[in-house]
Amino acid sequence: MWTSKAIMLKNFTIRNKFLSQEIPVISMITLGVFIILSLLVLYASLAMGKSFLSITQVIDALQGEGKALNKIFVNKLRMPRTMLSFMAGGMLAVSGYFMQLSTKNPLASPTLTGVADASALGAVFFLTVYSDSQGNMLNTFETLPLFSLASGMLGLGVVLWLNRAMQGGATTFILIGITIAILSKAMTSLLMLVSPIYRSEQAALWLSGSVSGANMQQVATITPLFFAAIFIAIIFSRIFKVMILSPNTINSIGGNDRLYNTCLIISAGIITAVAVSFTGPIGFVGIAIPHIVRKIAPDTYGTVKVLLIILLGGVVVCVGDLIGRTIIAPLQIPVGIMTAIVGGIAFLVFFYKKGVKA
Amino acid sequence: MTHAIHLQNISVSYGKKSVLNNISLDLPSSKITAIIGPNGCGKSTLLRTINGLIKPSTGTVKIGNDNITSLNCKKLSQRISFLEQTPSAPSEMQILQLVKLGRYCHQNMLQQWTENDQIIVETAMRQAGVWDLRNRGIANVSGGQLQRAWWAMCLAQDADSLLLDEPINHLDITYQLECLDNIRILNQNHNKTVVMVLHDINLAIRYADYMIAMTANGSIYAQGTPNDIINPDLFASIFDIKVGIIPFDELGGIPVFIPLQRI
Repeated sequence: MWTSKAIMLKNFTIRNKFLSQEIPVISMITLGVFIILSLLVLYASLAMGKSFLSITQVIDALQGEGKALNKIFVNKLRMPRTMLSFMAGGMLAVSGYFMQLSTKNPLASPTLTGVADASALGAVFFLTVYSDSQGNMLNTFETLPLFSLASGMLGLGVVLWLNRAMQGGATTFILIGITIAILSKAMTSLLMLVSPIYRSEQAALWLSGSVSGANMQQVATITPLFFAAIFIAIIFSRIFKVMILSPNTINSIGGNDRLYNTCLIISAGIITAVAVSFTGPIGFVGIAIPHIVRKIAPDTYGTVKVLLIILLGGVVVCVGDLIGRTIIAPLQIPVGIMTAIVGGIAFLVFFYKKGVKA
Repeated sequence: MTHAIHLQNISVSYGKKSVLNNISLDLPSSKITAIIGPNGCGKSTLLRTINGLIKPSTGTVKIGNDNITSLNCKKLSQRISFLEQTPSAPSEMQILQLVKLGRYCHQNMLQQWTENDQIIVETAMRQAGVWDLRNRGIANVSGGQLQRAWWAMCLAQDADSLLLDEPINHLDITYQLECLDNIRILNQNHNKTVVMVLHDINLAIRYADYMIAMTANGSIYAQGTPNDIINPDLFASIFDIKVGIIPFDELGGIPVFIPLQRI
């Protein structure tokens, strides 16, 4: 064998009958760093708040031991929102990545499918319709995500159906998506004007992206969907490498540009709808995380890259919520606002220094 | 002469505009075929139709004995590789990464980088002369080097037939000859069938075993060996120019033409 050693050394290679993969060593190291970072952030989110808990206290509380108050802090209050924000962040980041790949546009974000605003409409619709004139809730609050999810999926369905009827490609899809988003927004504003003031405030909170109402039931619902999203991303990871080429080249090397686009856009829509229905629209994550990962790990492709995107998305939203609920406690700043402010500024600084490239 | 690719009654139209008119062709196996014709006559469309990128409104394309509609994307790409005129990739991508993508149609979810893939990619890059540039980003190489990188990707695909849409565009004359020599070597040593669109007709005559001349309205004017089809009438009919043609003795009497004036 005269294969060059140069390629082998820099890469971690697995080769056997069932599996052959080659991953740059640097990618594996980056993944390791990201996993450690995620664990630290998850711990910080469980430990910080009204009282700071040590790592042993957190572990005790998780196992149902230690002080009763700690158990309430960790398991009842902090755990649900930590988990929810982490998973929602990862899902929004990965769906943003899908959108940017399928549209070949670095500015694409999950909101372009119209799904996020359609979900928001569903949530506000729920708040308005199930309130009587005195502002009493006529339905349990836990069913809100269901309405939001249904509305988001309905929005996605309408966009897909219109796109099919117009025989459009990725660009048409985005244009229809933006139109549906604008229509949904208009109806949301209208509903907020006619609903009781108290509900409007609740709606405004939801619309700014918040995990303050998180509970373990929601976490139990979103967890399998989160892992399903990771699974889909891993299944798709082989096509990510080729999606950066022009459509004709993709097809001539054995891909199927149209099929890939459809799969990516539909998956992005569903994943966004799921995430948004639990947390409300959290901005910035979907558009910025894929760029940041590309800058941090330019030589990383495929499965590892998508895992980095999911982890970093989770970390950013989790940290955003942590800052939002501690910085001016007992007041809580919705995580959507935190990610937009902190993330937005960080994003600008980051790219002012490094330069943004498609 | 066996035929690698067989087209029967192919017509293609974009909307109402007809681009290819009832084309029937047999492209010889293990030979170099050059397609010539005026701008906009459908040369590129013809290549794309052969590669299944464009669905013809009538007619069938066969590779060997298989109708291309019976082959899925992956199978088709293992048989034919196609290099489009202006392919694009992100500027920060390394040349090695680009060439590796040529193996896509041989890989699957689990088998993504076998020993065989590695050997073929390295061989292809050495053949195309880009092995030493493997760690360079595609924004940091010259137009000619980039062209050779794409060419290497095409070779890595390891298909029996290669379709090249103006492979020597953007290259200076040295690289034009080098590129065509590479094509010839590949054709002779590995029995690859090559079908390429060329604008430089003298080079086409020199390197092609078989030529196809297309008219502006997307039909075949003539097909055959260069000696058979190159004559003043051909230039008058498809390019509207008057030419002088002289046999070039040093190269065994192949015809060389000199454009004289427009008609």
